[in-house]
Amino acid sequence: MKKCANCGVILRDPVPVCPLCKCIAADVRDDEKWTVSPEPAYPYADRGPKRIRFALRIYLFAALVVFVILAIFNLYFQQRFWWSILILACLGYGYVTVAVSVKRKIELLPKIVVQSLLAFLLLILIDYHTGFYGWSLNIVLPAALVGLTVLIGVLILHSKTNWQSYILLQIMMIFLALIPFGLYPFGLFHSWTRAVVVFLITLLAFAGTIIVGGRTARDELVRRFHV
Amino acid sequence: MAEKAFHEQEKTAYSGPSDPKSRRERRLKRKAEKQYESGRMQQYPGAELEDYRAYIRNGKYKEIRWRKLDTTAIMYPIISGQSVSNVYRVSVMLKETIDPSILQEALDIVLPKFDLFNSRLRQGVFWYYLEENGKPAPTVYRENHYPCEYIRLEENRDYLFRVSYFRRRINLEVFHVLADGNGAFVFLRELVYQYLRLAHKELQETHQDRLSDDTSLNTEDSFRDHYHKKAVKPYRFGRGFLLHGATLPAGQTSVIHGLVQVDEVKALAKKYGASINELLVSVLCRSIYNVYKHSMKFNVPLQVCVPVNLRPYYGSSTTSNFFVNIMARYDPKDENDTFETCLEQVRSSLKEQMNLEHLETMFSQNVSSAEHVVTRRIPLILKRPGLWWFYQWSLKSTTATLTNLGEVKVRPEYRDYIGRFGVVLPKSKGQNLKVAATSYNGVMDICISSFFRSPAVQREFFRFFSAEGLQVEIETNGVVYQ
Repeated sequence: MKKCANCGVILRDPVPVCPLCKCIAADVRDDEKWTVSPEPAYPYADRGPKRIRFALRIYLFAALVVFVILAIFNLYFQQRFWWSILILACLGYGYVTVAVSVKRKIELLPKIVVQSLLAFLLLILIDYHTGFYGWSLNIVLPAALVGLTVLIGVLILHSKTNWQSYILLQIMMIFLALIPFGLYPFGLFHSWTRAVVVFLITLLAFAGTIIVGGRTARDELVRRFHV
Repeated sequence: MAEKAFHEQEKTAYSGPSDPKSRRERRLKRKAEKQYESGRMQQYPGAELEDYRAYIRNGKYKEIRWRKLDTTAIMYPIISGQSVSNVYRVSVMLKETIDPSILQEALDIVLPKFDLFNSRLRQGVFWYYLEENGKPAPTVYRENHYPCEYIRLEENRDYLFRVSYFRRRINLEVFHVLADGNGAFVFLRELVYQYLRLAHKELQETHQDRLSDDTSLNTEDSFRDHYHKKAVKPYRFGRGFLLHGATLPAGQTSVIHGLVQVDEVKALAKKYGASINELLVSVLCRSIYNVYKHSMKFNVPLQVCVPVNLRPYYGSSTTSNFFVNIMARYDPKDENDTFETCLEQVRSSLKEQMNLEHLETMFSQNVSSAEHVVTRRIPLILKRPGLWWFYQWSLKSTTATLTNLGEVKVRPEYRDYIGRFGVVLPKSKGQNLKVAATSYNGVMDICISSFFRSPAVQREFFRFFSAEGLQVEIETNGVVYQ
């Protein structure tokens, strides 16, 4: 057993240095009152390198280099159409997608929502830069809404014990299905029928879950909406 | 008693006979047997096959139990992350090496009996809430990380606590959303009792796998039960001195345990005419002052946050959070202040706040804000920034935290197997040094967790006691040697 003469404390760690003042500690006679353990009280904490974050930083730098090179090409050889901005948007989307996917604090469903939203914004940007023919809003948006609704339905059928967790996502899809109605007065969304069909699909999916789910689904709504 | 009442209540919901005659009852019995054998049915205390049948109402629906978060817990999911985990550790050091298989078995037996710990965190539209988990207990593992690291729910079967071991120590790390230190000790004690019963047959024969008579399973929100609704004058803590210095790399925590005899600490406190808490807080304030006095401007006081357990004041036995934070205040005037001055200021500031009316005022304001008709109906996505800003604003008032969980009581038949208990507090934003004290069997474990490279404050703290003639034993997690 060791004692630090500077601090006047007895050291239990199997190290001859005082942790408080970093002086060499002296050996003292064992006292029966205290039980001294010869082994360390704590393990070595494994703090392995964060490879994923390092890879993301490498990707970010590489994306920046690629964008700068392509922007220079764009500037000198094709100034009428700024395709380098689309490349930048795609590279940025790739970075955010990977960064969100590896972030463990975020649950799976918010990840799906964020990545879907970013993908849609990317497509709008591409549409805008290629003449804005409206295919992103009139074709991709309703297809994405229906596709996500179907995906949620598949997840509900697949999950036997936790299917009720997706009900909130279905409610969110209903609100998203109102977007075409908001775009229609501005001429950005051309088909009223398509908007109604998409909205009804999301609404029916939700209604089906509530009706078939019965009391379990209703209790889930009570829990989620409790004040 | 609680277990028996629980089963009686469930059996009245479905009174299936043991010898079913109708086709429906035979079908339900077969279904219960299949789920029982497959292990998919959630386990309930003392569950036998007949009890499982009681939970299959109409063959389909099984209610998921849930509860709201208590008032203190509302903040934690919003402010917690990798850097601020809000996960604290309570640990027990046995006198024998831990057998992981027995520890896992003990956890599998004890966990279903505690509804509070058998929970997972869910996000509602207006509030977070706790829901029954039902998955198998989290896997017990050999400790291989720094204390109080953030709990990754997807790696922990959505449980808000984890159990690890190292040599003779069992660690229980709990996300503060579930319970405070007193609640965590209730669970840890039962886990240790169960472990010892499995490891020692003589205990198993005399005590069986039952919860102790003095264990509470109460999970009520005592804040809501005891706050007063009339308008209260809001309390405000002014700015406090914030510690600064070179910090350890992200993720590292320096832990230093100081073991002292409780009798010696009591005698020392009596010598200064103070209680143990007042003495510890004063020594901490004095240590910080000694280290930082040459860089202080002496325009803001040192404010040490002291959590106060409210259970004795209201006769509550809840295991969820029920505490309030008060501030011990030390306002040094210059570099020549004495310890006695510090002690006097700390004592008067604590006495001023340690009365029922003041404590009630402090938590009533929080509960009133949360229960306000407008606050309740603001969606969580809009409430989060407000709560986050309130948390950021409150950071500027606290220099450090010191909590004393007091004497841990253990049943006589288990005392010979247990060495000591300990508590480690996590980092908070703006608070890079925290102190937690707990005592057992005449030995007080004072644990200082710090995120500074220099152990200067810890040195001053423990030197005070050794200079007063107390025998202090120091144990660390090795980070301080870097």
